[in-house]
Amino acid sequence: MMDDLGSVAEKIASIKSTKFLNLIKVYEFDPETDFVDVDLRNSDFSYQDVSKFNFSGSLLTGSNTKGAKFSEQSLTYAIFFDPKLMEQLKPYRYLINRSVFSRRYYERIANFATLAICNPKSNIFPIGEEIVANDISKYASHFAYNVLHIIESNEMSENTKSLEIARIARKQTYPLDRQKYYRELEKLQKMYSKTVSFI
Amino acid sequence: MISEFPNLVNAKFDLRAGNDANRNLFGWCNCSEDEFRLGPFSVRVFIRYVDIELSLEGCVTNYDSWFAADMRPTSAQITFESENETTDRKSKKDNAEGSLSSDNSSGIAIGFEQQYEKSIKNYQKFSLENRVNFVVASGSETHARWRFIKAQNETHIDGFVLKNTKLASISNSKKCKIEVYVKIPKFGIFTSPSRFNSIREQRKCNIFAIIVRKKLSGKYKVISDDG
Repeated sequence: MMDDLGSVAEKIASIKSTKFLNLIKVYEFDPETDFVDVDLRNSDFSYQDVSKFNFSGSLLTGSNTKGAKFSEQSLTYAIFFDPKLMEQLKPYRYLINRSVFSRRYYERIANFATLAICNPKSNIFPIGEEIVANDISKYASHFAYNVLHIIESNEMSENTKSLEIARIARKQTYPLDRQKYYRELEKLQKMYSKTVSFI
Repeated sequence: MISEFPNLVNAKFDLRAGNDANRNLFGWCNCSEDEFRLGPFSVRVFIRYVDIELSLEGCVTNYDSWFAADMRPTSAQITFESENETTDRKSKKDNAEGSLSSDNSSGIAIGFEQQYEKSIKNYQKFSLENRVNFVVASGSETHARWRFIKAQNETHIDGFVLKNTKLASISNSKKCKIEVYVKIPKFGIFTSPSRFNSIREQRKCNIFAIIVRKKLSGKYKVISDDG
């Protein structure tokens, strides 16, 4: 085992690009099982299609995920943000990951809107800030900015904040994708119907 | 046991002649976090669960009670699975209550003669009550498997799971090949990079850690006795 690992270690050490798909070329991996429950913090997934990989339960905190394509399984179960925060927001993990990583901007907006309506608290700030800072869609980053502004307000109760976020979510109009955006909101409303009944 | 990881699973098993024309399988197993350094990489390895498997080959049992596996778990839940057609008569639905009794070493021993259905509810109940390692056992007339799982409040197994403990008693009346394995399932192992100077190094070390886990998981034979 030692000899094998020695040669693999040499190969990895000599690789120049540390992009995820480059690094894994050194060994034969099974994308379905080998990346479950592993530590992949600070990885570089940028602009890579990793939708064949299952990262369920894996720590991807701090990774560069710009333009990356993840599988539904990974989006649901991988941990992209601070694990302690994710523990607090466990019921909303689905919404959180999709707020940042869904392929369509209107899906990201609908997911972040639902998250903020369900949980209009400052603990979603890191997710909102991530969207404001890195989302390639102006619509998504602008919407997240407005939502954070509402949550920050000291003048509103949590219930009022939820209603206000729901109001601005309803008012979003994207000429080309308006119907798709509303469909996504409706889908999420059904999924979280106990907490979101006013979208 | 695994030369590169002397602390991870340090296990020793032996068969000893008993007073009652039986051979007794004794086990000693200590698990701990380990560190592995190779070239520029340093990886921490720890396990969440470990399996010990006993296999008796080449004999006809005719349902005689010639083989009894004992536990020395500090808490226990038994699953009895039919391994082959001869044991199909022991259907999973034939559940029976288990008896827990004090053991000389520590914790509780559980008799293995009865069958138990694995129940998540019971599992949680047991593991909540104990901060100690948890055992799930399964078996048939020719196989037994013990799975030692980390205590619920711990991140990994740290310490003895077996301490010169009698695991099974095998009658000398039937000649058979006895094999004992220590099995480390892939998802029982966790690896994480322990040292790196930059994010680029960390990324490489992350991948190396996954390879270490992949290499490490598997079955390790610790006893092979032709009887």
